Order: sequence, then structure tokens, then C-alpha cells
Amino acid sequence: MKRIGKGSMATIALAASLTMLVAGCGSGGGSTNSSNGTGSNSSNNTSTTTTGQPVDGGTLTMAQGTKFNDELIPDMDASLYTANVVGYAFDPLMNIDKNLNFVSDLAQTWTWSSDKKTVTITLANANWSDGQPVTSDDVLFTMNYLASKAYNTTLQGQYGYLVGPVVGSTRIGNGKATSFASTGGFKKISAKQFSITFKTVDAAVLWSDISSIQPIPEHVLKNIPISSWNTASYDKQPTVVDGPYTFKQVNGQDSVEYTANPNYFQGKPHITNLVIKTVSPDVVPGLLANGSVQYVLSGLKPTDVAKLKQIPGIVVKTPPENGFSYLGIKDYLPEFKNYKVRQALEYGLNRQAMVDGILKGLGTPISGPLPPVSWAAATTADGMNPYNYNPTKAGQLLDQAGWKMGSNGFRIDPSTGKEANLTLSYSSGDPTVQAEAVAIQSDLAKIGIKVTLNSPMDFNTLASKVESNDKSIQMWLMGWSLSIDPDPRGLWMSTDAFNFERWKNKTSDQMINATWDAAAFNKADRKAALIKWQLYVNQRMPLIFLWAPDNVFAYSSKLNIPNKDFSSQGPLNIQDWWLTQ
Amino acid sequence: MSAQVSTPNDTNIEVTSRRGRPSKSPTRMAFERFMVNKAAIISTVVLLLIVIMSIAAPLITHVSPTHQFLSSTDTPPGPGHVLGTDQSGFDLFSRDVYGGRVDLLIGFVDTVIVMTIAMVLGGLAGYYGGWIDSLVMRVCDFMFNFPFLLLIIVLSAIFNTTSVWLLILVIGLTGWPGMTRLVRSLFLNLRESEFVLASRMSGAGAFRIIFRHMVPNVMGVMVVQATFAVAGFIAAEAALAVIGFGVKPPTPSWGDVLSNSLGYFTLATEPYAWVPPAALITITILCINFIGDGLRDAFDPSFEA
Amino acid sequence: MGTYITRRLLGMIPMLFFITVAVFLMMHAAPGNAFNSIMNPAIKDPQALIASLEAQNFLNKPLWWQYFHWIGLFVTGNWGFSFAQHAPVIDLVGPAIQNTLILSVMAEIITLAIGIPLGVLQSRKPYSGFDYTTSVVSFILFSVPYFIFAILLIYLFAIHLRIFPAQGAVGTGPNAGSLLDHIYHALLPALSISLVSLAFYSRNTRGSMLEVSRKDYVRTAYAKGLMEGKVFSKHVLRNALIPLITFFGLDIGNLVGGAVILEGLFSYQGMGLLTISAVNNRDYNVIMATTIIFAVAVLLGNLLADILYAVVDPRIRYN
Repeated sequence: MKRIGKGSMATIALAASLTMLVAGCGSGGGSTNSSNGTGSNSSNNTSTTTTGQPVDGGTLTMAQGTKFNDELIPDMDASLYTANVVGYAFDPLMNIDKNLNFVSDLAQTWTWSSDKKTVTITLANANWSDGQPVTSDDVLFTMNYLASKAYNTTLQGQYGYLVGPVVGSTRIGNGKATSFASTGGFKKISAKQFSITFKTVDAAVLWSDISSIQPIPEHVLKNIPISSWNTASYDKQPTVVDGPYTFKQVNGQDSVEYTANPNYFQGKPHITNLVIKTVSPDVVPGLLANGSVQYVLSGLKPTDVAKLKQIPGIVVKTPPENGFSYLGIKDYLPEFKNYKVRQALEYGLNRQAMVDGILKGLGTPISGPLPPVSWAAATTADGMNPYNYNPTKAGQLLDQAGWKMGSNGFRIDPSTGKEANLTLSYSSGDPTVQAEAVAIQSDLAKIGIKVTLNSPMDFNTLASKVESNDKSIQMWLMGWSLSIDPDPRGLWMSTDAFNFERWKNKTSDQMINATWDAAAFNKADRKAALIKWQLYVNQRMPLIFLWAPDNVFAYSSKLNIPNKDFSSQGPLNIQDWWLTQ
Repeated sequence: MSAQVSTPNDTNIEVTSRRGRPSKSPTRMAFERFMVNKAAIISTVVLLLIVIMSIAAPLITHVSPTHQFLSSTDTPPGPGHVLGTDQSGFDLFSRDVYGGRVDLLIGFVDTVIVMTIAMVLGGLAGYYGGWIDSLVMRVCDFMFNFPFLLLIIVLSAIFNTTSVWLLILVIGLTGWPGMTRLVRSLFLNLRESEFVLASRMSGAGAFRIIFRHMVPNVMGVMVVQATFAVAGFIAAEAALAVIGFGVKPPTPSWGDVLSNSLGYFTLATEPYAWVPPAALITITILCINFIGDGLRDAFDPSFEA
Repeated sequence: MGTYITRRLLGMIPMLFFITVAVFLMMHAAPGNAFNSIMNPAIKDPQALIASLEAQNFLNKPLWWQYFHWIGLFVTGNWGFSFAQHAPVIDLVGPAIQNTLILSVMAEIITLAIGIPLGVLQSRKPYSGFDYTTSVVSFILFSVPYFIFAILLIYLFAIHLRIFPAQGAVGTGPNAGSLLDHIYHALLPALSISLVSLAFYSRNTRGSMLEVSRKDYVRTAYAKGLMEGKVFSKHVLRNALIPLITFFGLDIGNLVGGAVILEGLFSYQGMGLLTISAVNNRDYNVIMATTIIFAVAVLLGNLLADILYAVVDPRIRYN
């Protein structure tokens, strides 16, 4: 049930900004020795996950390390932790499967028009929990809400982009129109079938945007103006939902109680009651160990993994995350303009040693923009250079780039003629990130590059300085959690705002455009285009890739999650899970 | 004068010997009363040992507290690492030994800062009264209400650092109102006393009256308060470290070591990681409080039942 | 007395003005705002989104304009909108204050109910075995940072014995949110605070009691042949408690301040966590609201302490 795209959009660092107390959410991550996408199952008791007949009943208590906000209409709140709570009660149009392929959810089938601008979607035979069917009108109502002026200004919503590519989104956004039905963006064919027309031909739009829409019930909300939804009782506790669980009670920002939705269209869940609690990350492992909590959604640190594995009755899974940690550099600064210098930095960092030491082996060093878990990731067989640790090679590359070794063991920056002294910035709150900074400083010293660590700053300060090209920022540590679809846009185009490195490269832009044009509607062609682009990035090294960390999932062996439901981004299809009584 | 606060015993000895009188001065008597307080004496010795340990840290361990042992993170105590290493690969024993430097520095320097501000502002307010008094008291109220964490974030963003000295500055700048109120109330009482009136009659200036006559009279109370202040600032450092506003890592401090050890598994299975810093903080504060208590009894003979 | 209270209350207004101005300026002096952390590559044009959010919240206006705009709305009861939590500030502050008050009032009750009687008992037989033992214990309690207690209490009562909850201000089930449920959840965090502060109170009560018992008027009372109990309650206890009122007044200010670390460890959604997350997220409206609430509480606490002085000590008169 993990949110597609949207759920994973929260950056590593964003999580860190929520509170200083939450060390290690996301950014620490972890990484694994395996890159096959299944991770390592460490339980003493693996049999429980696959054998036995499902039993109905029981209460499943889950814990999150960071609080959610009690704004439970889908997309009202931007927090990943709120999205987790909402996700068990509202289904998206499309879900993912174990191998991160997009599969039907509320949208049963979809077909493209011949001009590739219109997609026709047929809805599954799903009903709201009050018995009304989920209809095309509900989808239209939801799309209008996401595009509306009230949502994007008064409510300060952040998911307007989901419907941004649909014809008429701009006019609805500035109040000149109120419905996609009148702008030509949406056409209702029947109660269960509709078509959406996009502004441009785009092979990624269905996956990146439309798939994540979670319909809301028009018949419940149509009489409330959108601008006052944030004070509506439905927002505090939605009464009518279409997901596997219905809200029984929302206890402020402390906990949420659900009961199984008997009318859920994918089958009534086996587990009767569901509880999600907010628990301090310091305490989470203890509650898991003593059985008060059966599943931890977030808040486990790489350092907890080895200890958790020693506790009988706990299953730990550490599949690779669809994201990466990186050492950011300002590519336009004279010291980084030569890509040989950037390659030297990549060669000069012993990333495997850092993964082993700091992340306890829970991560995989990477050298390109798509982590191994992505279906489109290029491998060494495709020609990717893994940049295995090689300080000698790093030294040679620096020599070629004119970075001569000075008398005291540190190199001279040819752009200034003085001893190079690079500053490295990172955010506070997570000891893992700090350990990385110290390790990078010491590795780069070994190849003659002097690095000075800035004081860690809170995430907002770092983000603002990185975004605004602040003079004090030369290198920084951050990470990205990527959406399931490998679309490079957003991070990698020369004009993208999140291209913090300010890597402006026409060749790369052209290669990216080839990954979503008309030809890319064929998955194999799209993959070929993505690989071509990755090889280029791998060679130009616009930022210093560190590793793809591992997700850490841990749950009681009494909780049975079928193997087919365990994706690398977390378990799916909660209706299939069951508890050993 | 504030510098004498750091080691109360020396102060007393120095004062006595300078006067060189054969008969017992009040300070001398206080010193003798302090010396019979066993808890205070033991505490002084223990505190001195902790101070010496922090200063002489390089003699106690040759391992640097900021050297990362990347290939041996999270190791239990063993030959290379007396108390093991933490999750970042730092040697815990070395960090415990060196960590006291930051804590004690913050404790003592901030006490000096706060006592100085309190003496000057509280003294002026108490001596002159009137609008000066109102103004100082309003500023006190203002500082009482100032969100301390916001100040740290803003200053560290502006100065681009969270060095020990920035932390000392922030704690010092926000920690003085309570002490200032105390000094003011003491001065308000003294202002009307006969010896102050007498020296005013004899034409002494305000400066002379304050520093030659009034300050020595409140010194006893202030030394006691200063001791408790040291303990309070050390506790504050630990608390700040736990919520992520401590000194710039990887600089070691007890609060930092402790805050990295609050996870369930560390508490349950790695006492060597959290017990030493917790014990060092607690023992240091305990010793200082016992010393303060001993000093109070010593300076205030009426306290002896 | 009435005019005195009115004068004090009016005196709070300029103080609140200066505090809010100072906090407002500090907040805006720090680089970055709540919207810089929007980092979602799926957003096609984040700069436009950020700019529109900033405009929506008037962050593009001059600072003085923003301040007066904010204060104009604030006094009419509109406390604005939280940037980070997408909710009206008043909806966030309400539950947070409630939680924090429950916690801190409980802590205060435990502290006073144990601390003062303990101090009194110690002072009845000073330097006895009882006095010595309890004094040393309270001295040790007073010296341990309270978050260490919190961790040990969680470890013992919530994880090992499982008799108290380790997290949250309310539980689950039909009784969630009842007063009893609140008290049940606040007990461990309240105890963590109380263990430290009751040591402080018992210590001061003991000292104060001893000092008062030596006063001439107490001797006189005994000399008059008054019963021990009467002297104790009417002369000693009453006078000994006066100095404690100062501490109590300071405590009142802290009642709504919340304890950041404690609330973090217990995931207790009170004012402390609200404030720190607002500071970290540059959630300006929330910071301003918590600052004002805290300032008002401190100022009222001072006032209350002064009034209590007058009630307890007939020599003090305000006019």
C-alpha cells in the first residue's frame, strides 16, 4: 500500500527536517549486500511468512517514528507519515507489485489513443464504504480538487502537479474554469469509464502523475467548499472511504484506529483491527521486541538491524531503497568544472567501507542516477563504470586535471593557484550523516584534497543555502528518494529546480527527452534510452554518487505477509496479511 | 572578582592570607566550617579529579576522540577500545575523557559571564533603584520569555557554526536574568544598611560603594549561587545535545555521547556506552551541589542547628 | 489590590509587544523558510509553487508590514495557518496546551504533594537517620538530568513491566481521550519531571522550616505555652512556605512551556514538541503563537506569585 511516486517523493532530508529527535529516518537508510531486489530475510522463522492458512481476526499495531498530521483527506497534507495513514483507507488509481511494476487498482484497465495524448481508463467494480459505487464523477471531482485555486492557494496543497499535465489545469488553477469536464481534459464515457487528455505526448505521465490519484467521494464532499475542507470533520476522520480499512477513531496525532472494510473490492482484509501509533524512534525497537507493536513503518536505524535479528519472533527485511545518497557539488564552480576532477572524487571515496562501517552493510555503492532496484537501472554489463575505490587512479585523474600535489601533501587548485580547501556542509540531527562527512573528509585527504567540515545546520537552512546558490556551499550531503517511475525529469534537466548541482548539459537534456517521447511508450525502447542517458551521467559524474541505502522493515513473526506482497519499498496489499492467533 | 568563583577554597585562602590578621575573619571561619563538612570535602576532591582528567585527557588515552575507526564501528569494549566504539566509529572512552572539557568549560565560563552580568546589572538596579531598576527588571522579564532554541538556530545560521564558544555565548546571554534579580534584591536590602549610609556620608562615590562595600557583602551568597549555576549549565549542555543543539560534532561532550546512546538497544545491551557519560554528568553535578551546599552552610552560620 | 492587578496586566502589553517584535525579527533573520524544504522532484515547477506559497503567506511583503498584518489578525483571534502542518494554528495549539497542562499539573501535584511534606518531615528531626538518608537521596535525584529518568522509567515500566504506555498522550479504544486515559499516559513523563523537582522542593522546604523554627516569634509562641501542633501549623509552616512561592510562580510559567526532550522521548504531543518542530520548520505563525502563550504564562505566573505573597504574608501590601 505504499504510495506510488508520491509517498516516495519525500526527500531523505525532508524527513530529517521534521524533528531533530528523529535521527535516521530515511536518510540514514541502510543498504544491502544484495542487489537482486528481494533483500535478505534474516528471520529465524521464515516459514511463517509463507505457510499456513490465513486466519481472520486480530489487531495489528503498527508504529511510525514521526507523527502524522490529522489532515486525512488524501493530498491535504504533504507529510509522508500522513500519507501512510491515509493510504490504508484510500486506494490509488494504480498500485505497484512486488517487482515495482504498475498494476491495476481502482483503475482496472487503461488504453492509449493512437495520438498518445489521451488515455481511457476503466474503473474496477469498487464501492465506497457506504455502498455507493466509485465512479468517473468521483475521479473528476478529485482531479478538480487537486487543480483548484482553493487547493493550491488557500489550502497550500502540494499535489497540484498530479493533474498539471492534463488539458485545462492552468485555467482551473487560476480560477477561470472549475472542471476538467469543461476544459477538454476529462471526458466521462460511463459511470465506470472516462478518458483523460494531456497537453503533450509524454510516456511517463501516467506513471508519474495519474497513477497516484486517490479518488475521494463526491457525494460526501460536494456541498462543502474546498477552501474549508481543512476544518471539515471529514478531514479529521473520513467517514466514507474505499480502501481496505475504515477509520474507527483518530486520536489526535497520537494514533489512528481502523477496522476492516467488509466491502473492500479486493476482498475483505483478514486482520480485523488496525492501529497506527506515533512512537519515539528511541523506543520503537523495544516495543517491537516486547510485542506491543507488530510492525514498524518507520523509525528503525541501520544500527538496530543486527540486534533485532537476534530477537526470536521478529522478522527483519532490508530490501534496497529506491533512492540514493550523494555528495553534491556545484558543477559551475571553477574547481569542479573539469569532469575528471569529479571522476577523481568518485574514485577517491571508499564507499563500500563507509557502507560497511556506518550503514552496517545496509546499502549498495552506486555510480549512476538510478538505483539498482529500478527496472531501468544500467548495470556494469551495460557499460556502467562502478568506480571501485581506487585512490591511485583518483590521483592520476587529478594530476591530469592540473591539480598538482603541493609540498605539504595537499593539492593545488589550478583555478586559484592556491592549496584547494573544499567545504562540506550537511544537516544536523542524524549521526549517520555526520559520520559520512568525517569519512569523506578523511578519504579525500588521502588523495591530497583538503576538506573542511562546516558545522551541521538544520535542514531548512541547508536546503535554502543549497537552493539559493549560497556562496558558503561548495559540497553538501543529501539524498533523494525517487518515485517508482524512473523519469529523470525533476532532478536532471538543465533547468530543473532540483538540479542543485546546476549541471547544464545539452547532451544529457536530449537524452532525457528521448526517455519520454512517443517512441518511449514501448518499455524496451524507453529502457534503452534511459540506459544511454545513465551511461553518459556515469561518465560525466555531475554529482558524486554514494550509495543506495536499504529500507529497514521489521515485524513480528505472528504477522504473516505473503511473499508476493513484499516489494522492496515495503509490503503491499494489506488485505492479504493475517495474524497467527 | 568573578574569576575567583572557580575554586572557592583558593579564594578564601587567598583573601585570608592577604589580610594576614591573627584573629579569625568571617571568611576564615566559613572556610573552617566548610572543611568539617565531609560530603563537601569529598566532592571537592572528586570534582578536582574530574577536572584534572579532562585537562590531562591526552595523558590518559592516546586515542583521538575525533578519529573515525571506520572498519570497527559499534564494537564492544576490547583491547583497542577500552569502552568500545560508537556507531560512527569513534572511541567511546576517549570521548568520555575528552568530553568533560566542553561541559566544564561551558559550566565555568558561563557562570563567570552570568555572574558578571548579574553583578553589574543587578548591582546598578539595586543600588540606584528608580527607573534604572525598572529598566533592568523589564529587560530581565524580556529575556525570561525569549525562545532560547530560536536564538541558537538563528545565531548558528548567521555565524555558520555551532562552536563551543557560540553555545557559551547563547547560554550566557540568556542565563543571567534569574541571578540578576537575586543580586538586585540583595543590593536593595544593603542600600539602606548603616555602613553604606556611612560611606555615602563620608563622600564615597557610587563605584566605590558598590565595589568596595556592597559587593564583598554579597560575595558569600553569590559564591554559593555560582556553584549551583555551574551545575545548572552542565545539565543544560547535556539537554541541548539530546535535542540536537549541542556543540559542533565531532567535538566530544558528555551530552553528545549520552544523546547518541539513548536508543533502546544501546540502553538495553550496551551499558558501557551510556553509563559512563551519564555517571560523569551526574557525579559532576552532584559534587558541585554538595560543594554549594557546604559553602552555604559555611557562609551562613545560623544554618547550623 | 484590584488596581495593582490591573496595572500589572496593562504592563504586560508593552512587554508582549517587544517580545513578539524581537522574535519576529529573529525568525526572519535566519536563512530559509518553511517552503525551502519542499523537495519533490515530481513537482514540475517547484520555484513557482514556492513563490506562490510565499506570496500566499505574505512572505514577499516588507517585514514591518508582515508584523502588523500578523498582530492585527492575532488580536482578533485569527492565529494564522501552520505552513508545515497545513492546519489553523489554533487547532494545533489547543490540543498541545491541553496535553502539556495535564502533564505539568500532574507533575506539579506530585512534586508538591511529596516534596513539601518530605521537607517538613526532614526538618522535624534534622540530622536524624531519616533526614540524612532522604537528603542524600533527594540530592542525588536533583543532580540527575531528568531525561535519564525518563529513559529509565520507559525501559522499566513500559517495555519491561508493560504496565504504563511508552508513548502518546492518549491511548486507543473506547476510553481514548477520557481524563483517566490522559492521566494514565501522563504519569510516567510527570514522574520524570517530579523526581527532579520534588528533590528541589523538599530541600528548600527543609531549609526554610529550620530557619523559621529558630525565629524569635516561634520561641515566643512556645514560651506562651502554645501546643506544639498549633505553633507548627500557624507559625512555622505558614512562614516557611513564603519563600517557596517564588519557585511556584516560576513553575507556573513553565506549566505551558512544555519539556521538549521529555515530550520527544514519550512522543507526547505537547507544547515543547510543537515549538521545536515549528522552530525547525520555520513555521512562523506557530512560533509566534507559542512565544506569546509562553510569555503570557510567565508574566501571569510572576503576578500570581506576587499576589500569593500578599495573601500569605500580611506584611506585604500592594496599592
